[in-house]
Amino acid sequence: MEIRSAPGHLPGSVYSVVNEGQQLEMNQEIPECLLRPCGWLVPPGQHSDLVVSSRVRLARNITGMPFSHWASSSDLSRIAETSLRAIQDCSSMNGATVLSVEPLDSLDRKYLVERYLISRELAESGMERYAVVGRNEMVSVMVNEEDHLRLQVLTSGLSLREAWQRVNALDDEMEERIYYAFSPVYGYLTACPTNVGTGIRCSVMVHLPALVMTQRIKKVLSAVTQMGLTVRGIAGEGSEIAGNLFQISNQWTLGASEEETIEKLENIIRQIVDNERKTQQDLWVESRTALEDKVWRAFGLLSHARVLNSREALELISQLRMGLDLGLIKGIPYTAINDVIIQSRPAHLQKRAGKKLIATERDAIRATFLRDWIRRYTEKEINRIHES
Amino acid sequence: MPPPCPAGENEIYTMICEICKKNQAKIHVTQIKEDKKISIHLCQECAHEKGVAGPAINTHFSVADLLTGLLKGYEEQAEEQDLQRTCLECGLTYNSFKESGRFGCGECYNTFQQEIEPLLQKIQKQTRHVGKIPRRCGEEILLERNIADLRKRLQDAVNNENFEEAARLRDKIRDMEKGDCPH
Repeated sequence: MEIRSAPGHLPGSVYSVVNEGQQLEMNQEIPECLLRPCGWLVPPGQHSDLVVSSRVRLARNITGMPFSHWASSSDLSRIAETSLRAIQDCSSMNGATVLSVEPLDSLDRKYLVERYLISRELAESGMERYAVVGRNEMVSVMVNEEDHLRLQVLTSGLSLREAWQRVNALDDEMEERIYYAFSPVYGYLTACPTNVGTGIRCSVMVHLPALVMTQRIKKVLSAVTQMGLTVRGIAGEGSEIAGNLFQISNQWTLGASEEETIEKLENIIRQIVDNERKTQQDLWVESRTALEDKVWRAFGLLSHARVLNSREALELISQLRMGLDLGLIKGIPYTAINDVIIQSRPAHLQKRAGKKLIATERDAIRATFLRDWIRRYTEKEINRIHES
Repeated sequence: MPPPCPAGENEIYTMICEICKKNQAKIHVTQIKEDKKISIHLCQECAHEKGVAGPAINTHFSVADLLTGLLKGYEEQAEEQDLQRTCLECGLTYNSFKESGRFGCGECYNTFQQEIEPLLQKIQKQTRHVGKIPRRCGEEILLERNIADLRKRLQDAVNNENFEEAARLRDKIRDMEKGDCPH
């Protein structure tokens, strides 16, 4: 491997790496490949009707260096340089794209947050922060976030094991090139003591409309919290619950092994998913007409509305998805639903429009986008309704 | 004006902002004016515009915020000099840890071990690492891990006045530290 750089600019603005004949460019703006639908969403995983995605991330730091928030700018450069060199050498990151956060404008940063490629914390930070995004966006690494390295794997459906295997393989490759801060007592050392130990955070995004409708969700969530798990909204830490989507993740990183953590979370998710299915069936028996009405109203609004804010859009997409679960609506793959959730979020709409838009403009564009989207899948369905 | 209080669980799905009448109300302000109680329910954006709350992006509550609260109990018992301690490696003080909820470097875990132990007991499953070990320091660490376990057992044996077992464990630890594994 050879690192090329303009003199005095390592690893800043001009930086490209040749890796096995393949050139990885340091990008100052979002490259073409990240403007397509997220590749990792496409193969539907287990329980993909109710489970949107699984994510496993590892927090790692380089030994002998201060953590990113406490590091000087020269330390940050050294951390970035060491990290980027190591990442480029890893076979799991072949064909990856390196993005420097600093030159990105606020819209591009939000866009990456919506795609789960960078955290809000990284989006709000400045120099020497990078996101390295692998093919299909399945594997990605944040450099100089709260920890020096955050390795992440995203997969669709319930597939924590697969995600863990992938991220573990990348971690193995990384540790051949980097001395991690590790203590035999506390494990992998992290800036925040909530991540110390395995440094693992496994999250699963689940869609639970019937549990919300029947208010059984409160019981489920309080049970989940008591088991050392946390629940968040669609956009991660601090985000509100919307569209009946819940992100459930492990809280403990010290005193439980990676396998134990994954097994426990998967078990609980399976139980929750079973519970949701059962609740949907109960509702179907008890109040079929009301349920059908809800789904078809959502279908009607998505097909005809002229203004939709992001919250309303999420709610309608949620009801449409439930229509698929119940077999009322046919012809829309779950992966398309997962994709449209991301595509109809504010930064994605603006990125496609090629400019910044105020909220009212976005709401109009969102409605148009969703109308076109639903028509693509359900033209036949609409004709059938209109004929009858 | 009293600080905004978070929405109760029951209200999460129902309340709509009184200003824009569009978004979900997440900030609930109660004011007492001339013996009358007035409640206003606002969404994040409108609340920010009215100066009641910060902008939406900065309001996310991180686990780090919780840490500072958890450390209070420790401080009441701690000696003055403990609270003045500074990490020799990175210069982080106890106070800056408390404010940010984050350590400055890996060495801080040693410097502030006294503070971190009760904290870890509260926020983690246990206070000792279980799980992956970096391959290249694996053997050494496994040995250290075993020695640490034996030390703990030795302490238990002494506490239980089981001196025969204690002597056996002491010898075993000595052998392991010398590098001759008894097995």
